[in-house]
Amino acid sequence: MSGRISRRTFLKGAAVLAATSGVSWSATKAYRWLSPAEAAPLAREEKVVRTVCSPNCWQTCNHLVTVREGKVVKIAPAPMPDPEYNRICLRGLTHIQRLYHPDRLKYPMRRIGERGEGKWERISWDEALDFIAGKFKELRDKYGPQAIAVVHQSGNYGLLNGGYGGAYRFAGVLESVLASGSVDQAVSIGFSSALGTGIFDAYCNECADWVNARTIILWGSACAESQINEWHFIWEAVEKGAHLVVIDPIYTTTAQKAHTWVNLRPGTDIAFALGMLHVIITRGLVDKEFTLNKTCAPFLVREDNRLFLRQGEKPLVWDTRSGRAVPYDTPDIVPALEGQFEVNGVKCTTAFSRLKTVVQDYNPAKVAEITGVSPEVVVKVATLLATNRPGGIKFGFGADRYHHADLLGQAMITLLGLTGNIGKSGNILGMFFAGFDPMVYNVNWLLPRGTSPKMLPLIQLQDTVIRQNPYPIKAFYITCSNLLVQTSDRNRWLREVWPKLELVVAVDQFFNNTLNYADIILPAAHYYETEEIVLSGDVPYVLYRQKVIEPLWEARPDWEIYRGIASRLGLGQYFGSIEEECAKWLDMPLMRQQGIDYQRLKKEQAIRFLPKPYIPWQDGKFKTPTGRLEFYLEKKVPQGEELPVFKWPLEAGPDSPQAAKYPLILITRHEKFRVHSQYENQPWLREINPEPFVDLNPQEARKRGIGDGDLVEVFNDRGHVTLRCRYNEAIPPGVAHIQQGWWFYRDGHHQELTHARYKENTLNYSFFDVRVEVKKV
Amino acid sequence: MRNRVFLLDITRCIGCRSCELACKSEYHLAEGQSFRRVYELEWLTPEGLVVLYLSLACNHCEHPECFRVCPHRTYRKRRDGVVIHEAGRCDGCGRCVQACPYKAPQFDQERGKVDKCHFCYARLDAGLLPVCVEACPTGALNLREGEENLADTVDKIPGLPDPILTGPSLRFRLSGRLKHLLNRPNILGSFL
Ligand code: SF4
Ligand code: SF4
Ligand code: SF4
Repeated sequence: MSGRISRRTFLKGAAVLAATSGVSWSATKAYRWLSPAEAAPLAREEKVVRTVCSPNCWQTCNHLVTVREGKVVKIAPAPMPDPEYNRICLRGLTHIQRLYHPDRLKYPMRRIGERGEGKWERISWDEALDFIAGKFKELRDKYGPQAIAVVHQSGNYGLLNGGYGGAYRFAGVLESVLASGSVDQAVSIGFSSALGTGIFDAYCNECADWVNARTIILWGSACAESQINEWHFIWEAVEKGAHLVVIDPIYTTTAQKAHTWVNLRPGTDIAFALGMLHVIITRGLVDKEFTLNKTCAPFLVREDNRLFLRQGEKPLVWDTRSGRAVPYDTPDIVPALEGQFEVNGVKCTTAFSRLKTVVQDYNPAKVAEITGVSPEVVVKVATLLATNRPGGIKFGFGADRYHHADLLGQAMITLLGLTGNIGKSGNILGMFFAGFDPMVYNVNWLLPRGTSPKMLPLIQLQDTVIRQNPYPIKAFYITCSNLLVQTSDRNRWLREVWPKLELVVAVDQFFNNTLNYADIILPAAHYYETEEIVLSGDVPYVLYRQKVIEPLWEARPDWEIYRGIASRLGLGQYFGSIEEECAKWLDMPLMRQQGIDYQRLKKEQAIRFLPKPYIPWQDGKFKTPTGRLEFYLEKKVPQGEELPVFKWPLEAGPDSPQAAKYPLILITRHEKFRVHSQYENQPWLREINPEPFVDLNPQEARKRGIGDGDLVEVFNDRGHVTLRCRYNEAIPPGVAHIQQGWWFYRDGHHQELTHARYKENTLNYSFFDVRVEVKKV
Repeated sequence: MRNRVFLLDITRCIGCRSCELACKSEYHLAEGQSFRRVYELEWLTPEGLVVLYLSLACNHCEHPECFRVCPHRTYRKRRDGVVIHEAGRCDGCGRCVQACPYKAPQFDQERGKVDKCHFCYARLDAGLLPVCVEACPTGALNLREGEENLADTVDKIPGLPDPILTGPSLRFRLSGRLKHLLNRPNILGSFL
């Protein structure tokens, strides 16, 4: 039933549509919309077009798409300049079904019933754009430009049509609110602070270099399922003798491949990391050379205010030769790594000494108590990272989904720094992500001539609308986002936020359980139906997406929709032609230096813009003010988090007030069948993954009298979801697991169970920091 | 004549099913039809449940049972070993579906005929890899040519029919602890 619900809701809508506008869609409803192809292609009109698939798996695969008599009939991986980046996956291979899916949105539509009721009428593009622009104008006049919020997520990496390019331009030009982010950023905030970079900068060695690693720690990463095309690099390292550690409470396909599986309790990752630091420090496994010269370890920290002792701007270190405190970059000194010092009456100790104090309690035995992992494993993993080098830590976003995940990121980068696993071939620093680095982030293009949106972290959007403060938001323009499926506390959206909105515009390809609550629906063009530059994910290229076919039915690329609305408000000049805009975007120093312009990109389609191999930090100079790896974060002194400390998460910890009532921690992880919520309704993928389940360890299920396959309700104080239970020994007792990204359930939704509480400095969704109970229905 | 085999590196395979989807996409297969299928073998270890993935299609056997039982001579074996099902002659009697120990031939409700993997022979003839091999993102699924190059492979996996029956063009590689599987033939039972 589950998948059918979406269909039924939609059919209901379609029936109304047929009745009101006299248009029947039944002709397109036939399931067998494709006839089996012949083994050998017949000599018919045929062309092969190279293009890019770009949802938020970040793999940005290049596809060779065969078009026969105007119809896409075949998809294959395209050859890349470096063949190790040839790639495709099960999801990308279903684009034929996605393009020609009978449920695809075909026309702009206007709601004619209540929100969520599913009654729509077809309207023309002109009507739709006139209406939206008219309403925008009215709201802007009455409440100011921030009455409108452009809401976007990661649905597309295209420059013009994606969430990170065109949406910025659109919101900037409107001077509206731009609500985005708040997902996947907490670990990275802690991690990248020490490097002095942004959270999605290219701070890691490119994936092709990972094959040189000797120790690989996948931390909260189900890479073999969620980033399928990165797996072969990891596995090649393993085949060359690398030791693979996977840290994950769930025995995932990825964990099953590990030499060492660290099956810690959910939410105790920081304690495990502190235990590793303890082992590395107390057993003398620190890379002294790197730690002393490339990190902030020897910087003197004042005991009175825990800030660095400085002379002018420069932190001081204790020079053991002269016996005095001198600026850290004074030549010919031998700084002390640890110790107590007094400088002009101020008591100081080094950052390293402070770290040593912080981790001293986290001996392997104590860590074992907190995490449930044996003390030997703590010692083993720490020793591997420190001695079996080069090595690295790749974080996924499993461990990111708890309240204090930034502290884990701080601990991870400290581990890599202390073990000297930075700046060398074979090091892995968290994640390799190339497309959003400042060197390719053309801010002048994104926000031309001083236009600027009001940036609002997505997780604050609910509060902002409810309180109408700091912005009087009255309208949403949702694009590249299945907002009500991919953000938390769904009931709060629908009960408290939605009633305050006078207009909800949503742009997408299907009725995905967000669109059914919109007022105006605009059909978006598919990846293959657009032309643009694509921001790379985990590949070192700038990419060109060629248009394979014209948009089907009345679908339009996002960029054209922006232009349509903006031009009605007298702002059309900001939305130029594809040719013009792509050329302008490429006009940045890094591309100019390498002679990469749009004509060349159109010809070559994938051009490497990073050196080969790409290994950052080889010179040991970081982007922090001191150029050192600053794992001691002065800005977090007020919270007592200048160094990583262990804190239980909000709900998932045993100390949570919810623990007694809701004994299970809800983990909603990515599996291989979707990219977030994209591809949810692809028939071929549904065949192998037909309906949502809550996975329970049989032990937990039996305790509740639940049989394998029984219908159950998962619930907490915030909401509920009804679905079948599946016995699954890979799930530890104490955990309930649901694949994230399902659009519809029999009743309720898993995002009713999640909350939007956040930590001030991360503003990140803590999707797994959630407790529930399960009962049979 | 069995000079070309599908070689599956079980240790490498992550069960992503890209191979299966590549075939469905290439040949626009109907609901329920998959000429290549990824089977899941469960293996209870002290750590928990290990799932092994076996990506299987038609094995283009040396002694094809399908060929033997078909009353309409629908099947033929090419000189290079590829076993082809000529759908034109098929009347959908389904004997091959019963006879094949690997469940390779599948009945297509819509057309009332059987169909199966034909090794992408048109691609092979053009010097290309089968689409499943081409799409495999881990390099787990491969082709190997020549008997002499099979030394590092095994032809038996617990739970699979004995290769002596039909002489399948199918080999496996296992490394690390998965090698233990070979010594524990009873652990899985038959899964096909
Ligand atoms: S969904 Fe991601 S991994 Fe799959 S083909 Fe598209 S870009 Fe590649
Ligand atoms: S696997 Fe089955 S269908 Fe294929 S050749 Fe062997 S017996 Fe025939
Ligand atoms: S595509 Fe490769 S890795 Fe994926 S299931 Fe098939 S054989 Fe295994």
